[in-house]
Amino acid sequence: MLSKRKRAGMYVLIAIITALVVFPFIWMLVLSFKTNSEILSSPLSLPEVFNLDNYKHALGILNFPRLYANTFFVCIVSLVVELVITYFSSFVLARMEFKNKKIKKMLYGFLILGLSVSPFILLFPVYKINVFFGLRGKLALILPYVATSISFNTLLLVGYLKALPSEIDEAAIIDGCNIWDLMFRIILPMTKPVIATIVIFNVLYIWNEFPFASVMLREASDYTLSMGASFFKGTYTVDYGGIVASSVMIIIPELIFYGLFQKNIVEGMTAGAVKG
Amino acid sequence: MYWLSKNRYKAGLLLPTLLIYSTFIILPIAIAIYYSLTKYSGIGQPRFTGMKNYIRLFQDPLFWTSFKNTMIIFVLAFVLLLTLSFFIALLLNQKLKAVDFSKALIFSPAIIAPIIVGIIWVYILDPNIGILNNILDAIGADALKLKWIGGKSLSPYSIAIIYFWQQLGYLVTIFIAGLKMIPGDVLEAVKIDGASAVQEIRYVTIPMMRTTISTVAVLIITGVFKVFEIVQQTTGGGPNHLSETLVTYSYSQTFASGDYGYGMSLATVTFILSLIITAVYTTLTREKEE
Amino acid sequence: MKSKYVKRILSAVIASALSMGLIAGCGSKSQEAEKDESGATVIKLGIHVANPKEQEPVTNSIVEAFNKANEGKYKVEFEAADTETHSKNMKLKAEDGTLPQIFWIEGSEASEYSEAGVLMDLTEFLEENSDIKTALDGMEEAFKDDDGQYGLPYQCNVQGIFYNKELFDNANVDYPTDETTYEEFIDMIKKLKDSGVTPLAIGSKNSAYAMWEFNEFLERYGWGDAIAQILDGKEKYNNKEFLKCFEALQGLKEAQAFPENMATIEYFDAKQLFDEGKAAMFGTGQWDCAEFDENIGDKIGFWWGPRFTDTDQNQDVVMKVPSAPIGVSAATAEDEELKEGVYEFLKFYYGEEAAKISYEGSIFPATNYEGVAASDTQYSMNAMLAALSNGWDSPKAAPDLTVPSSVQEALYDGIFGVLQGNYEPAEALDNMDATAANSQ
Repeated sequence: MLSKRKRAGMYVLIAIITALVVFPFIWMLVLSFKTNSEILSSPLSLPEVFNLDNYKHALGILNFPRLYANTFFVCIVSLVVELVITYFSSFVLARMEFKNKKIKKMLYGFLILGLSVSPFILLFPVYKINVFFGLRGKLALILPYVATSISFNTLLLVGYLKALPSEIDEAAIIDGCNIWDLMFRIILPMTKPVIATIVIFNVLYIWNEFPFASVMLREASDYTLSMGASFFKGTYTVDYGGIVASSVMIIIPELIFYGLFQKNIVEGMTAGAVKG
Repeated sequence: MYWLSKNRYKAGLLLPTLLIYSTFIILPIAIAIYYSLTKYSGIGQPRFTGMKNYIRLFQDPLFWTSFKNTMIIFVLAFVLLLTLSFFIALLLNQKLKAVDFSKALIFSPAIIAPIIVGIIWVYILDPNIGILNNILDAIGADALKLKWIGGKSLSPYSIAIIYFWQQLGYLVTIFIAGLKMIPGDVLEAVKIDGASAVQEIRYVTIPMMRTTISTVAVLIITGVFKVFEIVQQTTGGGPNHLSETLVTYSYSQTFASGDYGYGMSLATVTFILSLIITAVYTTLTREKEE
Repeated sequence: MKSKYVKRILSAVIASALSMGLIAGCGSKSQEAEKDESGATVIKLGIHVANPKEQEPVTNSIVEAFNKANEGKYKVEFEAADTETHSKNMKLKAEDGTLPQIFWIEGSEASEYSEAGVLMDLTEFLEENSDIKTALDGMEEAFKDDDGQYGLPYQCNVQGIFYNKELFDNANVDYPTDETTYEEFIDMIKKLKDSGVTPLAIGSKNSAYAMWEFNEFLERYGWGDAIAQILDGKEKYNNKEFLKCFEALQGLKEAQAFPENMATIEYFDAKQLFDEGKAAMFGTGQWDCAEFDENIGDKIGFWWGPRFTDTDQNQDVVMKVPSAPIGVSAATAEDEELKEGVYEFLKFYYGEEAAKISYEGSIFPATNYEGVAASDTQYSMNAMLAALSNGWDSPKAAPDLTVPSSVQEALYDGIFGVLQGNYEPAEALDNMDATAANSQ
C-alpha cells in the first residue's frame, strides 16, 4: 500500500490544512475571553486575564432558554413539514412515470431554480404574503423556511431516489404493496442517510438565519437565536465581547449536533449527490 | 411501476410542495420583478416606470463594478473550490488515522455566524492591524504587504478566499461521499494493471465522479451569486462600492438608499445571471456525458 | 416499526396543518387600544436599537419614569430592533397598518412617511401644549410640511469634533478655538501626525454615516442656503461653493489626517482609537459623551471645526440640530384613548423631568428648560456647553438630513470617497447630481 514516507507526507498535509481552516475558529474562542476594549485595541494578543465576563454578560442580556426553545420549535416544525412534502414531490419526480418526459424535467428545473434566489429579494414580498394569510409570530417564519429548503431538498432527494434500482418497486408491487406501503415501508427506510443530510443542512441554515427572523418576528418572546447578536450592536455602541460569547453559545449545540450526524452526512451524500 | 403512476397520485403528492413553493418563492420573485419596473421607496405606492430601472442599470458604472467583482469571486471560487476540495477529499479519503476528526474540523467554518466570520477575517486581512501583514512584516517580506481588503482592487480576491474557507468543508464532505461510491474492485483492477496514482485519478476517479462534480458545481455557482454577509462584514462593499458584489450592491440600493425599485432590478438581473450560468454549465457537461 | 413511521409523519402533518388553520383564523387584529394586565393602555414605541436598556439608556429611563408615574393608566412598551431591521419593519408596517403608535424614523425617510399619509399631524398637540412648543424653540420646524407637523425631534444633536487635550499638549499644539482657520487646522494635523498619533479618527466600513464633523464644513460653505434650490432642480450639487468644500476635505486626506486603514475599520473601531489616546480628534455627537467621560475624563475638549477663509458664507454657525424625528402613526387618531395616551407620553417626553433625565445621561434633549444642566463630572457635556455659549446660530437641520435617502447615501459615499482618494471632489458632487436625477 502506501509507503511510509508518503503516509507521513499526507499526515503533515492534512494537519496543515486542518490547522489553517480551523485557526479562525479557535481564535474566536480566544476572543470570547477578552474584554471588549482588548478585542478592539489588541485583537491578536492572548487575553490578559482569562475572564468569563462576556459569557456572564451575554447570559444576563439574552434569554437563552427562550431563544433555544423558539429556535428548536421553528427548526422541528419546519423540518417535519419540509421533509414530508419534499419527500412526496421528489418521489414523484424520481420514481414515477410521466407520459411526457419534458414535463418531468421542467418540474424538476422549476423546483431547483430557487437555489439562485438570494433571500433578501423575498423579504418584503414574503412579509406581505404572510400578512395576507394572517400568519404571525413563529408561523410567519416556518413557511418561508420550508419554501427556501425545497430546492436544495429536491436536488438531493431526487438524485438519491433515482439511484435506487427500480426493481425494488416492481418486487414490492408484485408482493401486493400499494403506493403508501411502497413509499413509507419500502423506500423511506432506505433514504435515512439522505434525510440525515437534509436535516443537518437545514438545521444549520435555520439556526443562523437572520434576515427573515428579524423582519417576521415581532414579539421578543418569539425571537430566535440568530437575533442575539443585534442585542450587542447598537447605533453608537458595540460589544464585540458579548457578540463573540453569545456566538460561541449558539454554536455549541450546532457542533454537538454536527458531531452526532457527521457519519450520516457522508453516507447520505454518498447516494444523494453522487448518482444524481 | 407504471400502474402506480396515476395522475391522481402524482398531482396529490406534488401539490403541497408546488403550493408552498409557488406561494413563498415564485410569487415573491414575480412581485420583485414587478417592483423592478417601478419607482418605489418601500413606503407608499409604487409608480410604474417600465424599463427605466434596467436602462439605468446598464449605464450604472457601479453595476459593472459589482458585476466584475462577482465574476472575479466566481472564477476564483469555482476553480479553487472545485479543484482543492476535490484533492482534499482525495487526501481525507485515504485510510489514515484521525481523518474523521479532521473532517469535522474542516466543516466547522460553515457554522460560524457571519458577523463573527467578518470580525475574524478583518483581523487577519486588515492592512494595518491584520495578522497577515504583521507576519509578512516580521519575516521581512515587506513587498508582499498589500491592502488585502479596503484597497481599490484586492478585496474581491480576498472575499473569494474567505468564501472558499467557508465552503470548503461542505464541499469536501460531498466529494468524500462521491469517492466512497466508487466500487473498490474497479480501483483494485486499475492498480493491478499498473496505473500510476495520477492515471488512476485521471481515467477512473474523475469520470466516475462526474455527477458529483456537477452537483458541487451547481452549488458553487448558485452560492457565489448569493455571497452577502462575508462582503458586508469585511468591507461593507467599500471603500466607495469598489468591493461591492451584485447582491450587496442591490441590497444597498434597496435598503440603504431606499430605492426599492432599482434594487429589485439589480436583484432580478443577478438572479437571471445565476440561472443562465447554471444552465450553461449543466448543458455543456451533459453534452459531454452523452 | 415501519408503520409507526407512517403514523408519526402523518400525525405531524395533520397537527401542523391544524395549527396553521387556527392561527390563520385569528389573524385579523383590531386597531383598538391594547390593555395590559393592570388595565393600563399599552402604547407601543418603535425604537431603532434591539436592546434599549443598554443601547438607548436615556430613552429607556424616560419610559420607565413615565410608566411609573402612570401606573395602571398607561404603559409604554418598546418595539425594539437594530436600526437596519427597524427601518425595514417600519416600512412594512406602514403598509399593513400595524405601525407602533410612536416610532423613530430615519431622518431622510421621514418626509416619505409623511407623503404616504401614515403619520399623524401633531400641530394640535403643540397648540394644546404651548409650553412644549416654547421649550422646543423651533427645533420642530425641520419636520413640517404641507401636511402639517409630521414629526418631533427625538433628541437634539450637538455635533462637532472632540479632542484629547493631552495629545495636543504632547505635540505642542494649541487647542483649537472658534477662530481657528482651515489652514491652521491643516498645520495642526501635520504636527499631531509628527507626534505619532492619528490626527482625526474615522472609519468608513459600514459607517459612512459617521461624518458628523463634516456637516459643519458643508454648512460653512452655505449648504443651508443652497439646498432648497438644489432640491428644486434649479442648482446643482456640483457648484462653486460645494466644490471648495470637497476640496477642503481632499486637503485633509493629503495632510494624512486619518487612520491608514479607515476603509476596513468601523465607527466603533475609530472611536476606540480616540478612547485609548491613539487618536487626537474624533468627530461625533453628544451620544458619546458618557463614553468619553469614562475614558478621557477632564482631558476632553470640544470644537466646532475650522473656519474657511475662501468663502463669503457665514462662518459663525454651530451644529445644534434636531436629530432624526419620532412620528405618531395616523391610525392612533382613530382611537381617543390611545391618542390621549400618546399625548400624555409626548407631554412627558418633552417635559422638564425628562429633560433632566436626559442631561443626567449626557444627552441633549430636544427641549430647553432653564436650570437643567450637566453636573461637574460630565466633562464632555460641559465642553459642549462651553462651545455652545458663543450664542451662534444653528441650521434648521443637519445638512445630511435635508436630502432624500438616495442622495444622502451619495453624499456619504462622496465624502468618504474624497477622504480616501477614490474620488476627485468634482466627481463626488457629480455623483450626487446623478443620484438626484435618478430619484426623480
